[in-house]
Amino acid sequence: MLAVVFSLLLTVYLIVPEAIFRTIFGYFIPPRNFVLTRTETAYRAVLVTILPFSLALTASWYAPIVRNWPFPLRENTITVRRSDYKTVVGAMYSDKKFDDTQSQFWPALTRCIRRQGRLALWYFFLVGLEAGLLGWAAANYSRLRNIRAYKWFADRVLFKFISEWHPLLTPYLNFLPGTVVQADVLCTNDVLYQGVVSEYFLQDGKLTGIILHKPRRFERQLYLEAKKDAQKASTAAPDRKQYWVTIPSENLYFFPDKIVNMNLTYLSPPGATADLQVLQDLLKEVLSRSTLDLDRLTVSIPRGPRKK
Amino acid sequence: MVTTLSKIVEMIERGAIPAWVREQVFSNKEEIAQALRENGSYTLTGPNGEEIEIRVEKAVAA
Repeated sequence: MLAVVFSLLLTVYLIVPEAIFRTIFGYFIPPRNFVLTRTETAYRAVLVTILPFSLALTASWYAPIVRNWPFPLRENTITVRRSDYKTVVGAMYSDKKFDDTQSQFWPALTRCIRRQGRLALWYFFLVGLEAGLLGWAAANYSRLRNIRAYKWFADRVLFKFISEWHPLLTPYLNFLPGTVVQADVLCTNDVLYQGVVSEYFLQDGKLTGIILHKPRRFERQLYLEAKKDAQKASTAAPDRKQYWVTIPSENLYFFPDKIVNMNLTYLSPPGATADLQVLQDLLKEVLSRSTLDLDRLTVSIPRGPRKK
Repeated sequence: MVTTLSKIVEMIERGAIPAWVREQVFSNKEEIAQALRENGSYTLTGPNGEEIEIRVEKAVAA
């Protein structure tokens, strides 16, 4: 009987909150990108639930409203609480004890269930609140990354809940609004494809598919032949750009087992030069040995690129 | 997981700087530092005429 109760408590206090956390966190970072592998699940579940559980437990004992709502009890003193749990656990452990305390067992069990129900509800609420806050913080990495404390927290906590594919395959870091991710995909049949990453699919943290928008194919064989001919004729090498052929399809799906490698480029919107914050960080790093006051270093773009 | 997401993020951020900017910053770092010390500013000029101005404001004496 105790094993059944233990399984029930494990479900209520660890598995359900973790599922709530995943769902709400997933509103901010899409669920398909939010990955916990099976081996990490228990550890992550404890990590996400320890704070809300501690708060809910403390509040359900001491906080004025929380200690009696919902499911209020007439008598809810520490002594009654201890006595109820002692009666319930004892009766579940031994049949003899159950027979001896049957008249006290059922009222005690009812009170325990009401207490546990109240605790669980506040606990779920706090887990949801935590998931919302962390989800919002994770989704706004590009906006908040300059705050040192946030960066520290993101590195150590937030990133544990996001798949590494998310920043790689989406403009999550959002260097400049309108940035897109372009992928050059070399397949096992030695054909190179290029396109903008529009969707990708994960299962247990592993890439199971990727869709490229407006795909094109590189005619490598033709290019190599033209290059060879140009070398023989001692003329200029052929222009690579001429050998990209547009594929008559809006989207092209790739199976990961057919991909040899992938070259990812984060294309800034036309007219944009660089993310000033990233550039500023690079300059501070490069000039760190100089005697300059780098806290006063600023970067600006007085002139963008000429339109072709 | 061999690497951490923060390392991947750092790697992507480094790659977000155009190659010409990176090249000029690394090859002219002494020149940039000297110009910032003397004039308080330095301008990087890109292949398409774009300009990036680096400034270091001087501390105001109390």
